[in-house]
Amino acid sequence: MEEPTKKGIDVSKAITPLLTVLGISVGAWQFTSQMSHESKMEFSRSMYNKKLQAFEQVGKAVGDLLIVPHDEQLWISAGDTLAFDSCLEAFRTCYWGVLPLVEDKAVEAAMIQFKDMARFYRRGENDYQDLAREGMTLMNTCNRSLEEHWQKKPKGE
Amino acid sequence: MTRTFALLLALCSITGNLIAQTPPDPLGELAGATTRQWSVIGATSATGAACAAGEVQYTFQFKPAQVEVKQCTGGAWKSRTEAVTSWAANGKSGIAFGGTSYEVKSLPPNAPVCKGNANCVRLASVPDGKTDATTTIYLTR
Repeated sequence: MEEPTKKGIDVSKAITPLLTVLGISVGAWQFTSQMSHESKMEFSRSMYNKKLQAFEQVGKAVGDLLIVPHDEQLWISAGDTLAFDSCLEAFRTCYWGVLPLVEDKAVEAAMIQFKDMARFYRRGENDYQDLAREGMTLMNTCNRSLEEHWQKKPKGE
Repeated sequence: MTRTFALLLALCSITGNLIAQTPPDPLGELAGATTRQWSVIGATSATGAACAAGEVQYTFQFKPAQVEVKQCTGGAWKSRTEAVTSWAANGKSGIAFGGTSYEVKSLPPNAPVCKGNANCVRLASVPDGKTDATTTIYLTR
């Protein structure tokens, strides 16, 4: 009559360490997954800050270009060309030096179009309104890119 | 009766203003009602004559929408025809042919690049996401 009780004890003895191992494994997995999520979030946050800083530099370069023509006159005057060229150079420095690390395709296209428009304005082919419109489009594109930064999931998720 | 007439007049005026503000159709600007031939500003030789390497002429056709591109290679004109499509995005519009999208803009004759040509048009390529380089073509007819 003692046999079934002994068998029951044996089974519980076998299950207990198994459950312990399982518990530890689940805990370790949860910890690793949480750490991985945290490090991804940290990376995303630092990229966002870098992007924000880069776009601030672009915004300054665009603003500097747009305030060169005095009183927002429609066509560039001969007296403004030197200052305009200097600001265009600053913008090109942003384009080649700062943005490639953080930009996306939409920002890249908007920057190219603003750069082209600045050239056209400089050559008297487009007026100030066209240049200002292109500058606004570029800044809106940067803004959208920042918004989308948190919406898109990191690769592999 | 007078009020109805005044209302009609106001409606016509508003419609007229809206039509006047509509930007010109880019292909219409280049092809007119039927066809128009354009050459790159600075190109001198006429069709049929011996040409200089690099010279290009474009003949835009409104219907069906296409462009004949004549390119000078080895002293003779070589021609090809491309279909033209219209595009519009982000408040801009233009035409596309040969795998490139262009914005079309009529330039004033006093723009230095027009070199005094009365009919002066600029085709500026739109960034395609593959390369940073854009192309600008200045045409006259």
